[in-house]
Amino acid sequence: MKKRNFSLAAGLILLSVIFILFIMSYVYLPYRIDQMDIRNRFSMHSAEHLLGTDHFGRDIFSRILVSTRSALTVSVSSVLLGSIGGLILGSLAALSPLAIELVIMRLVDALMAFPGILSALMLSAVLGKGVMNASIAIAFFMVPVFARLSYSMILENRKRLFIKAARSYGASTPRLVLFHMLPDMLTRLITQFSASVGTAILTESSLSFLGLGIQPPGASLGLMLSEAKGYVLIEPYQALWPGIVLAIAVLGFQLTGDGINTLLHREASHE
Amino acid sequence: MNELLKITGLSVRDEDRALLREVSLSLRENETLAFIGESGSGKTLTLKAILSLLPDDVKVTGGSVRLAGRDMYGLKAGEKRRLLGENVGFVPQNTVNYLHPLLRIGFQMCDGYVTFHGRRSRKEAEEKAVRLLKSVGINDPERVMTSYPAELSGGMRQRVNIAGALMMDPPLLISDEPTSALDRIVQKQVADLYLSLLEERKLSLIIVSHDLVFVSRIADRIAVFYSGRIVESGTKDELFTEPVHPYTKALLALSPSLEQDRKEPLKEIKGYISEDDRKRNGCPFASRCPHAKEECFSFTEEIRLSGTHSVLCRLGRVK
Amino acid sequence: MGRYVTKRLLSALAVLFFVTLITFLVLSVIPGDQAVLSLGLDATSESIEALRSSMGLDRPFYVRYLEWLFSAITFDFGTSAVYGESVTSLIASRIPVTFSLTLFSIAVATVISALLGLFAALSRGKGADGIIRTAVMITSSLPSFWISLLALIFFCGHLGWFPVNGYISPAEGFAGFLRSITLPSFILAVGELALMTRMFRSSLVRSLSEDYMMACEVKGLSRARALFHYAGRSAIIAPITLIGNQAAKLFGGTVIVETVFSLPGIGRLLLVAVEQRDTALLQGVVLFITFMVVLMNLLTDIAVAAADPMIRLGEEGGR
Repeated sequence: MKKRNFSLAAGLILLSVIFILFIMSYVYLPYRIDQMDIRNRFSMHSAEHLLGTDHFGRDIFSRILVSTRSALTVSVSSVLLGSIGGLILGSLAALSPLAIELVIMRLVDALMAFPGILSALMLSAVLGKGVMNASIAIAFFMVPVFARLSYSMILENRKRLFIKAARSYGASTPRLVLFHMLPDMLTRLITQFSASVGTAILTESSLSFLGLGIQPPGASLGLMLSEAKGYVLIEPYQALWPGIVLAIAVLGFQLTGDGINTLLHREASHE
Repeated sequence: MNELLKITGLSVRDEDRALLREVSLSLRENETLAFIGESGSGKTLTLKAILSLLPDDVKVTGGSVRLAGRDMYGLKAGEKRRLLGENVGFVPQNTVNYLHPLLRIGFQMCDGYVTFHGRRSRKEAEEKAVRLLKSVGINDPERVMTSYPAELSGGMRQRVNIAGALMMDPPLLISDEPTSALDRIVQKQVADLYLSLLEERKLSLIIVSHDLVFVSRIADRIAVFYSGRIVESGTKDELFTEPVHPYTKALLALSPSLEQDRKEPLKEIKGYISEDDRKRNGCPFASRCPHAKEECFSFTEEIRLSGTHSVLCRLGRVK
Repeated sequence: MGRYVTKRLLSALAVLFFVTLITFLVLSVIPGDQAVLSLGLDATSESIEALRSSMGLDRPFYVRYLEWLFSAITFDFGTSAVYGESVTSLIASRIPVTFSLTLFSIAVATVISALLGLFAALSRGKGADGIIRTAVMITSSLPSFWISLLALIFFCGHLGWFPVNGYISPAEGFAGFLRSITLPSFILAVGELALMTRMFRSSLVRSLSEDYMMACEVKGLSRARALFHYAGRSAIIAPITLIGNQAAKLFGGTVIVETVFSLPGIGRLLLVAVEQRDTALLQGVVLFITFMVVLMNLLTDIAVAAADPMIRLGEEGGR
């Protein structure tokens, strides 16, 4: 490979930063996230508080560490859930007779008509606030994305020559899906998966920002920014670090997805 | 007669390898030159070099292309565009996207004409386009003018391409396998169209074709390409009756329609063009040639057999 | 064309049917009980039962769905429990804010991303291309509420250019109205840049590599004409679709900036409905937004079909 894959390298570096923070939250947490130091509110970074303290005098660094937990668990689990749902729906549509296919795809279109944040809001109204419900809410709007992807991939694959060849020597439909289509689809799914995790992190933090995700005194990047919002013109520093970490996480997944995509495309073009 | 096009020692390469080596040829007015040879032998690339349509990663490393007496690669972009636009018409191999799918035929045909003759020439251009469409055998040119390419058949599109190439009345027409993407019957029609065009117009033609029967009907002279070099060139008669280069002989023997017993299996030239063939200073065909001697692998030279016939092979010397 | 529109219309109706079904299903059936929701989990079972029958919740699902559907068709979504007003008039009063936000931001995003995409496509593979790609990717990865906070700090706090919060309606003063929605619109636009720039770039790159660009070169057309009339003609279609779809999504995604900048739009209404579990309001807002999305996508598809003869021809059975 002549050209280096910049996206993948940068993405993995950013992701490793997040994973280090994530692991650190279990191994070494400087302060409890609800430990208040009222005399020491809004402090700047110091030896005591690496990234300073918030409006209750809580240690921002510790709160960021713990925040990565919910960011990662909510986003990964929701995308996992959503992609499985989407995959089932999509392949069902692609492999069913026309009438069923049409119905399923209109259903998927309908799900698509709910903009991401809308379906998440709608579901959290129904399910209530909290981590678990946020995951389900986000999974809900991942379903149509993956359904469309897998649907179009199966249709494309079915047209390809090697599938035709396989069919001619009598391979059954499930066998086709399993051994011929899946490996090809997997690569594209991984790309979509990585990018979707980025989106999911954004959505999770948006929900928390709006007060519907993680509840105080718990810690979440969105929640921290929401709290910072109240003091944003007096203490702008509060809004800095949670935002940076959030951006690193989202960008990390996005770049990694992009990088995997170019990697696979390049390999494909080398065949 | 004047030389319309003269290519001298043209060498072209991409990042990895030489694609054309020392290609020289000339074309006079009213003359038809055919390029024959296997795919990948540099025929189309030579056409693209003439049209200055080489891809970005392909570079001209030597030689010159003179069109209508002017050195193409010494011109500024604007001048070059004008020179090409006025002197050369091009008919592509593939008809599918050479015409823009979202623009009407009439617009596309008149576009170049209007560029060179000014806005007010639009009506004039349209009349000319209709006339040309009629002359390439389209019965309802007015309808075709307002159609989109997708509404026409492949043969129709190729006729439109030919008519479009003639819009500027260029002295030179360049055609890259103009019949290969069409079905047999349409192929014959388009081939006949070329013959009648050459009769009616003052036109030089460079044509790439795999169809040797077509070539034998249309060409005055023939250049045989192999692995980025011209291995033999001469008049049609010289090449068909007394070919010298073993590759030319092999190629002519391949044509199934030339006095071949139907029961015989189709012939093929054994082997393939390897990377070594392209790098070698000797004869590129040496590794597949039944007459190859050791010297062929290290040295080869162009030998003139007559004023028009020359060959890149030691067998020319013996003769 | 007519057939295409009919077909597209029918499919949009099918989608709308599912949208209403999902909305109704999710918001009134799955979690168990609206009565429990509105009274809270610690309500007594008698009071819940009383409320259930007074709300008509004891009737079968499909009856309630159809009843709701038919009143929704006549724009009757009932009365908001929080505001005590009709949901329809609440929504209507919030439309201007969200609509102008969406319109402004999509316009800004379109202009910027078209320019960036054009520039990136023309410098394909070079440094500028990579820088643009990376830059838009980074900006679009930034959460909108964070950018909002940073913008508040910088433009409102530091520079004092824009009001910190508080919305000025066009009726109160158009200049003030513009000032109050400029910053939020730009923030929304930033989030769209990556996707749209990529789309502009890739569709332009694709059409630049098509054969018709070769035709432009051969015809001697100027670079600008080739770029805008030929490459641009096909490169614009995919972005139009995307812009339409994104505009629709933006319309339902303004809740964050509306919250940060205290703008009284649909998003805020939605948030209140969610927080207060105001079912009628929630159903109304959700259905309204999704209806707008479906409508917008339908209009986009029809617009694209009008711009693309391939779609029209395909539907009319043309070749």
